Amino acid sequence: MVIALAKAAEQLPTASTPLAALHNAALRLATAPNNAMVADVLLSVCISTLGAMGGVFGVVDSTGLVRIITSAGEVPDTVLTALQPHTDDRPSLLADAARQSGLLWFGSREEVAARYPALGATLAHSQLQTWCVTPLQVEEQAFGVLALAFPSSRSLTPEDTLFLATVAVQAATALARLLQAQLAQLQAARMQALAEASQAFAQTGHDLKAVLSQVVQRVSELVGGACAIRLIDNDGLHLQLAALYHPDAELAAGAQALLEATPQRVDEGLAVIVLSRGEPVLLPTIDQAALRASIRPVFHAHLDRWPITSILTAPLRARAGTIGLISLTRYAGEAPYNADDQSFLVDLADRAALAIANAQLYTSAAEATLVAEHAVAHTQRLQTLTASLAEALTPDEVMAIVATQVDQIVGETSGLIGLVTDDGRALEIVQMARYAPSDLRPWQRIPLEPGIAAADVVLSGEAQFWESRTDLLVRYPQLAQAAIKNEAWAIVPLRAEGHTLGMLSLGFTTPHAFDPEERAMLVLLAQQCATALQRTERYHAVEQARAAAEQARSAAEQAADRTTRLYAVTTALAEALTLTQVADVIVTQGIAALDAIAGSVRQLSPDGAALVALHVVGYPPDLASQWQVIPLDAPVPMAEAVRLARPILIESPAEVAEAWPQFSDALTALRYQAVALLPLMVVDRPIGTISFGFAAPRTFDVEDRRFLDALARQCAVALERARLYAATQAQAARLGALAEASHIFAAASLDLPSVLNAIAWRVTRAVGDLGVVSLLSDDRELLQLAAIAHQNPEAQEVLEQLLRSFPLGAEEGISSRTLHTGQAQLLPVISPEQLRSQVKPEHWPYLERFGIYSLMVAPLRVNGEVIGILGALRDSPGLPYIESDLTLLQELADRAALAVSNARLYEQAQNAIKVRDQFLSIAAHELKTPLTSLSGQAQLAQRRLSRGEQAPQQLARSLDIIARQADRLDMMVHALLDVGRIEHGQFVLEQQILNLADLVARVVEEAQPDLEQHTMGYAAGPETLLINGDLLRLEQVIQNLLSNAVKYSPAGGAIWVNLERQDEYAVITVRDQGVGIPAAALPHLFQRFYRAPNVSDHHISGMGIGLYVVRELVALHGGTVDVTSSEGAGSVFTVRLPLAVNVTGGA
Amino acid sequence: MVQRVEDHGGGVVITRPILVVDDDPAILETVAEILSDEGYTVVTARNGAEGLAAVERAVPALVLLDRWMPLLDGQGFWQTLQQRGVIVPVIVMTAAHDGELWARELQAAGILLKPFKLPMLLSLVARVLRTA
Repeated sequence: MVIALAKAAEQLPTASTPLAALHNAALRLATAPNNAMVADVLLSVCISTLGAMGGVFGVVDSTGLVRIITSAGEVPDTVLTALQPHTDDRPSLLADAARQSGLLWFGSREEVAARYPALGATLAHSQLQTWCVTPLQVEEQAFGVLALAFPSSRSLTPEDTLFLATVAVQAATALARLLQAQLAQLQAARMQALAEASQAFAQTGHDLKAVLSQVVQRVSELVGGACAIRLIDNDGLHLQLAALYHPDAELAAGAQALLEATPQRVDEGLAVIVLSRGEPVLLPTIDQAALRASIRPVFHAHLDRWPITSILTAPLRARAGTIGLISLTRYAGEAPYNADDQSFLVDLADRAALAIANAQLYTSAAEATLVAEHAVAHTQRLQTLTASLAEALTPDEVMAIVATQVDQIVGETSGLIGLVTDDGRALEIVQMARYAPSDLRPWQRIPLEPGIAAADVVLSGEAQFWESRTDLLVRYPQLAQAAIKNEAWAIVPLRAEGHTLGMLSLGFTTPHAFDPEERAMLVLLAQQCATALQRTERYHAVEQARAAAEQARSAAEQAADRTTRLYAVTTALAEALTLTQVADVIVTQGIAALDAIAGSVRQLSPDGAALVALHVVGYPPDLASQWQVIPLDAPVPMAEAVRLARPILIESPAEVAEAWPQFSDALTALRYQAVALLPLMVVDRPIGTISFGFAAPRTFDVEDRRFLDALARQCAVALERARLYAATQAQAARLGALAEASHIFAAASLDLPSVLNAIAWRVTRAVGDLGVVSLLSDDRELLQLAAIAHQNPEAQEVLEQLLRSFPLGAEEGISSRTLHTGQAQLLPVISPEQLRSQVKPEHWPYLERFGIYSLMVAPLRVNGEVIGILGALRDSPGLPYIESDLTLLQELADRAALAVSNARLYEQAQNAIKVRDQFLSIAAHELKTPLTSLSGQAQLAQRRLSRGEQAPQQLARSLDIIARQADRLDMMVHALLDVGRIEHGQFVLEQQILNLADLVARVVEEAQPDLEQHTMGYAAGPETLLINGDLLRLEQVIQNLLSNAVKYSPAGGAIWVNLERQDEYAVITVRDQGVGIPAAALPHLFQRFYRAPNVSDHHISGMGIGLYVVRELVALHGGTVDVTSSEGAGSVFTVRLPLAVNVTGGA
Repeated sequence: MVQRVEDHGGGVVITRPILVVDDDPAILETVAEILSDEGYTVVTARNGAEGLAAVERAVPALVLLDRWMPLLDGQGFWQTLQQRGVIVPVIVMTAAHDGELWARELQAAGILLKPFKLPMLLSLVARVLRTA
């Protein structure tokens, strides 16, 4: 397009008359590709037409200085130098001219010298005499200056002045257009850079240092200046310099030293604005004195060498908080930062923050994983210990095992084991490690008397930990004099079957902090040790009894039998690792050991409110389901055994009827004749219950009771150990999940479905058994399934189909509460009845087939708004969700939400690029249409002239078409400029009191001559409607609506314009019978670059900016514009403008 | 009837007109004037529907066809001609970036990308009329 028109201009005959010169200039200026070309055209046409001796062309740059682009004719270099811009107070001819609204005229060089002495001095040696300096302005904004010099005194004729004014406006328009194009190019380049930066940040990985240095280098390269990132410290009070970049390594090193030596609090200086308000701060210019005062003198040399001139700072926002700030600094000689740089930096900062936060998260997750692995190792050692102990048959073997295991659990210590003597009056040291016998001589036998540390532990039965010598001396000041060689101690009682058998004492050569896990392990270890000792003693007792058994043969056999059975249980328990395995061993081995026909094991729920069945054998299914969850306050013996913490032994059904009538009915149905119910206790704390049912009535004698008691203890320890093991495994899985989620999120942050799917699987693997992500629909009515994962593919398929066929309403089910309140929910234990009342009946098939025993729901929040949920559920009993599961779920939910938010941002950015590309393509097409006839007519006239066939009326007609098409082009360029001004908030109204009726009538009248297929009627009420408005802009608004009415009625028809008063508003309506607007397009109609989809069906051209400008102009007047329409039935546009106040408008 | 009798030195020839279809009145007028100056008979139409009406009156020797027009667009105009079995060479005139694609689709005799050069217009018209 540009080339064709420029060539057309070249083919015009040499401009010999001012009019021809004007046309020549108009064509070439409208297509000039750069400022230099504008300068060349303008200077050549002005010099030749006005007979100037020389000329200078300058452009106003972004700082307001007039920079000389080129000169022509005979202008000496000394004069050019004197015309160059300067920043001091001396008057400058070109700068003064740029501020004028008309041209500056100097009749002689003396007049110039009087005002500009320096310039005058250079003129003395030249022939330049008269000066004419014209600003190049559009809408009072100067884009350049043209100075013309003449050899002798001369004056301008009115034609000259008109010529100069016209060509100046054309040149200014061309400069404005070029500036606009340059800005648009910059904007596009920045969007591209932003997308690339985003991708680069995401691909840098998880190394925090690498991410930070990538960010500062890229931001410095993209925006310019030194780039620094300061992150908020762990204490939340200080900012720490995390990375800094400037291409000049020497400058970067100096700036780094300066920033590191100037620590900053988050509530000081710029940081307080950036961090507390989350807003960027732009300091285009810096007060050097104030800056110097705020920096230590030792760094003044740095400032002398690199004076800071401009600063730009933006917050780093991620995970709903601000993690630090990013700042840019420019130095003397560089342009100051502007608002464009600021918005660019904010966009970059948002993307950078995400990458930095991810890297931080990854680092902390990696550390947490290490801790968890450590914990798992501990548990495994305990596991090994238990297994070894179960095999030990003598007290010596037990002692040896304990001694070797202690080292592995708490590290190298000196240790000893003391047992209560038979007379119960002292402790006897039976085993020791890393103590010299001489050290222990005074302690070989410790009296069991209060005031002695080991004795106190045995007497109270409670473990004691002293983390330092000071700790110990506070309790036992008398030891201050004793020669003790250790710095920390742990003394743990050896307790079994309610008795304290002795104690295990460990000494550390340095102060030692015992964490809760370590303490629990040592207590457990001692307990295992005690149980093992007890068992070995009993084993030996049996051995002895068997050796001397003749007279008490049957009793001894019975005892041996029980002990063997218990031993079988113990061995099996020692091998069972998971909760399920332990529960299975307890029930099956318990039934075998007791000759029972049914058995069950129940665990107390984490909140202590209910007993949850883990494993049941021998119960009919309906009863098993009814007793799946038993509230602890229920009137049944299972609950009572736990409440009272003692066994309940029912020897015949008759005993039951009175105490527990409800249970009595069940017993009859079960045909049990006797029942044993035993609480499971760990250190006096109930953790569950076991029960066994017998086919015949039986008497529980003392031996039976002891046996049951021992069995319950074994089971309790095993159950607790399995629970601990499961909890540790779960913790490791949780931390692993977080780390992996971060990884997946960073690696695929823009592929939403795969991120959500990965998160659902993480939930499944970390907390089991099913993870589901659902997002609210756009109208927030439905919860739509986004991802689902279940270890069991069948369960996953069933639930997926149910959720897709019968999506949950936002107001339905358990998740509705989370959607409403934004709070996560934890339902650790749910009974089947509770479920049915809260789950949509269409989803019951899943419950019936797979069941739900524990459930969690966490909200997905984006900017404080809940956009969906992350849910988890378990379809097997026994391991209810706990608080830490919920914390993990919420963490994963926050990541899922971040992924959704990211993907949506990306989609918005993509859409913006698409809209811009479409607009550029449409705008190019629109501009080519007037150019076609303009260029065609110019060529036609040229051809006719060359053939000598040119009739004056034909030429007039050609020029008329050329002028109209030039006007059309001008209007389009102005419309584009208007959009630019609105975008940059540069629109200023020139308001005056005006009569709206006159204005509307005139615009309607002016539109009439162009109507061919349309009629246009106008009606106004009787009142004079005065408003305070900008005449030209309101004219533009009405013209736009009228020309739209014509344009969008391609088949012709009537257009009615109406003006009336409604309350304090003047209301203009424009009604047409055109193609109308589809309902879906109405909300977008006034958006920039938007065009309703039906315009392309009708092939109606347009750039999608008219109504946008109309809305903005009306809004600047404090008014509104809206539209009612339906497709095929015409449209009505209504503009409401506030009437002027304090002006009396007569009726 | 928009036929004209012309004397080309060799005798009396009856020429069929050139039909120009474009919704922009200025382009329509400009192209018509250029062609008239060269002695062609020109008929103009502001959209596809008017163009079909003009073809009904007299089958033109050549059609210069714009693409996007109200009421009936260039595509619709061409399809109707095909359906009616009217065979006439078409030169497409377009400012669209995918103009060449459209020209191929229509198996057009030529394409003029707007804004076009006058010599280009004339040589293309002459070439198409010569080969037609």
